[in-house]
Amino acid sequence: MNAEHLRAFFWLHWRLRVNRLKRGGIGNMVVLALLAAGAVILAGLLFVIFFLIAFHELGDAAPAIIMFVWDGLILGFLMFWMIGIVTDLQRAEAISLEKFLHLPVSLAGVFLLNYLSSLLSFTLILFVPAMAGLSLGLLLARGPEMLLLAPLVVAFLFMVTAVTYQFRGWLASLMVNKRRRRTIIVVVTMVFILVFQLPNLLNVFRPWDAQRDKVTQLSKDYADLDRALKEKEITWEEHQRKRKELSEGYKAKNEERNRELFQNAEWTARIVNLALPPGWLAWGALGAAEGNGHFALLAVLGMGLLGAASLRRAYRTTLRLYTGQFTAGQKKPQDPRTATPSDVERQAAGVSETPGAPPVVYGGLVEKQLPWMSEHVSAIAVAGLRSLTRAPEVKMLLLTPVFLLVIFGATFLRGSSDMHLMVRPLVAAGVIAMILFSFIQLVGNQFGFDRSGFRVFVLGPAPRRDILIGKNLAIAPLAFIMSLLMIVFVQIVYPMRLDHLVSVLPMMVSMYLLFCLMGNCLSILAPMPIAAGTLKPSNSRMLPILLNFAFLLAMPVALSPALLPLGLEVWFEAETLPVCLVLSVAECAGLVFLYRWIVGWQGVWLQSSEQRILEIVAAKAE
Amino acid sequence: MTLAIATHNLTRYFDSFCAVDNVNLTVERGTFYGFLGPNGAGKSTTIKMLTGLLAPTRGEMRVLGKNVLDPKESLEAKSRIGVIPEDLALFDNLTGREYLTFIGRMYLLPRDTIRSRTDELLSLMGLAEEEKKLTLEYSHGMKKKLALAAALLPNPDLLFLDEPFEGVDAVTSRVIRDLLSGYVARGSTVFLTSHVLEIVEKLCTHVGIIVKGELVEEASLDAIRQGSSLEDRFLEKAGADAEATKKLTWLE
Repeated sequence: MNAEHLRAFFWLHWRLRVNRLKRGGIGNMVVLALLAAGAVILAGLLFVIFFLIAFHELGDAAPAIIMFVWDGLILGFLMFWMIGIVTDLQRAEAISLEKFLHLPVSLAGVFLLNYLSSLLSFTLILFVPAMAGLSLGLLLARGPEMLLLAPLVVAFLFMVTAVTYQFRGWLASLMVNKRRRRTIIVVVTMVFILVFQLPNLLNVFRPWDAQRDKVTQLSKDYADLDRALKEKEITWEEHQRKRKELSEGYKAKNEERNRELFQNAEWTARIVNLALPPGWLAWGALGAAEGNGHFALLAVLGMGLLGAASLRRAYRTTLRLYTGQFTAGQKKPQDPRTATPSDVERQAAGVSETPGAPPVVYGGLVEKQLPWMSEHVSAIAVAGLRSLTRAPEVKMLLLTPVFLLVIFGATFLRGSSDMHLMVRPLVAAGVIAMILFSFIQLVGNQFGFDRSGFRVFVLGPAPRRDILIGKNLAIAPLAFIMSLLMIVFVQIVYPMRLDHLVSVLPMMVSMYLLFCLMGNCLSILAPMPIAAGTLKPSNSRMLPILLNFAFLLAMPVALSPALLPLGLEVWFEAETLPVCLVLSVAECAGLVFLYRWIVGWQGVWLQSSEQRILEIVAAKAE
Repeated sequence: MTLAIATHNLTRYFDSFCAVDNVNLTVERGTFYGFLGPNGAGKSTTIKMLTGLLAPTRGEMRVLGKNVLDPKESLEAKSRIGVIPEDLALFDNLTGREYLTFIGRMYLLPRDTIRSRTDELLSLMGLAEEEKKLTLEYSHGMKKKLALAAALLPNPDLLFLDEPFEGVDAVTSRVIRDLLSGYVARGSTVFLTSHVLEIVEKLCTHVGIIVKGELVEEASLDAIRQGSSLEDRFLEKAGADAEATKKLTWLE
């Protein structure tokens, strides 16, 4: 490895990025250039802000406060860093080292270059200046003992980047198997999302709610005093005195509680920082602020060792990949010496199945005929469903209810139980809309997920109207099952009247039909290529993205007709009659006819646009 | 004379670049037509236009007597042709058998016919043992074989094959050649592109040569060869520079 190699490698990275930007179009380039400029300005601002905070506010602050500030910064950094990992994981093909291994460069050199290039990230551009500003401010405000922050920050960054590099290398080695690769992407993304939804779980339990209860009690006590004064049970002077006593008592208790909370938080943070390596930076900063420099040095040493061990491990993984020790999940060929005679005979005869193994079973899902549907519609719907249920990106989508429960669960569970009966179906409709919202990528870009498979539809003789109906039907079971699960959840929390509960079902179908009609338009108008195994559009241009945003904004309006029956029931104040149920069924039937009529017209549109769509969706994803 | 394919001034531009320039093809039914040309000559673009994957900039096309530019007639034509496109057309998340079943249903074949033909095709292509794998896990050669099986499944009157032998092993290549010869012998038509001139010479009855978007030669194989080999005639038409390698003095 020499300087020329280094230059060539960085040039390659730069060129690949520029070419990718160019392919995205001028609009994309402008937006990305603006974003990059924004990131640089933001990085400068963060440097100044953290410097000023440290210099003016943390000079005399308690060491624990300094630890909390570092903890906050570290959490922010790790959150952005993990988002970056997930994004890269979705974009990246298997490990790229093999593209360089035939060239006259050493494996160690390529490894080092790959590691260094992994440091070029948005998160580091943003957070390194912030950390530098904070360190510099603390150094100037608190004295030379804060010099230890510099090695602490460097060791922290080294540890995080090295561990991440090892982690990515390990995943890449697992992902040599294409099928496993997609599962890994889903699992890693899911784990990261769930980890970052933990604060919402905290929101569900709300440990700080005791404070709110106290405020409520104080308001009640004030109200009692006011009532007593009004009824002349106490004099004005007594009222004022008692009010003052209550206020001071509350204030004292509040201060005491805050002190306890702070002490508990400090104790917890110290333990967590000590136990988790990413917290060693904050722990070292605390030590430096308390005058215990050896704590900081220990932290530097620990993080440095962890980083070095990770890099060493990553290099060994690379070596194993290079020497072909990963089998990509395929069974190794059986050693002829240990094979049984029958194995050998079968192999010689070209027969792999064990004698007596069951013959091929026909009649799987892809052969099913849907009632009232044409052969083309049935074929497309069942094959589409089969394909979707195997696609990791769809499995990821199926986790949406879990996320929704975590995110909105708190709101649901904490909501008042005396919600008006007429509002409850509205909540159910809102939940269905939310589920449909999570299907926007699938329904609004139906052909993007087919990729080169879309050629089958262009080459095939199926009427294009049938293709759209089949596509819509393929997604329907997933959308309906998820919606029904959420409706059950709503029914448990806010029990609906039986007729309202039943009316939610035709309402759900109506909403889905309206959603599909819109989604079909968007799929034809603004298709986007999707990289295999991800939900991430590749090489997308600005116009389709803007149209997708417009679709998002228009969706609530488009779905609102489904709420008409409920609105009419409220309007006519017919709360004792199942008006909503009857009207919902009638509306759903009407929408089925409307759908069939409009989808025919959309089929003609699809046929006239199919070559343009094919050109976009079959484009090679990066 | 009944024509399987007829084009008139077929032209396709990509921005200002003319990929196919006023091509007039006439392919009779029952012929094995080899469409030859150097890389980037316009072979795949022509096949894409004939099969409806790409719209021409101008010109007319009739496939099996149908005007493929007319939306209604194009569906009628598509129900009678089989295609292996350049980049194939597979669904990553279906197994080989599932994919063939789906294709059979798209051509409205009865279930029993789909099953029996799928069994035969998978076995013939050497994919029977891999039928439970997702196509995503197939090698390039296996994908090609599956695409060919899908093209043959509906028993079409006309086959468009874009580089069908690329990435296919020698055994399967022989099987495919025999199969296609038999297919043409019973009156169907094959329109294929290939870089392997030996195969074209063995299989094709008629040949068209396209260079830089222009059809420079179209005749029966014997008429094109004129006693010479197809390779020599092709290199002559394609304008290959035999002296080119001699210019690399540093290789001497």
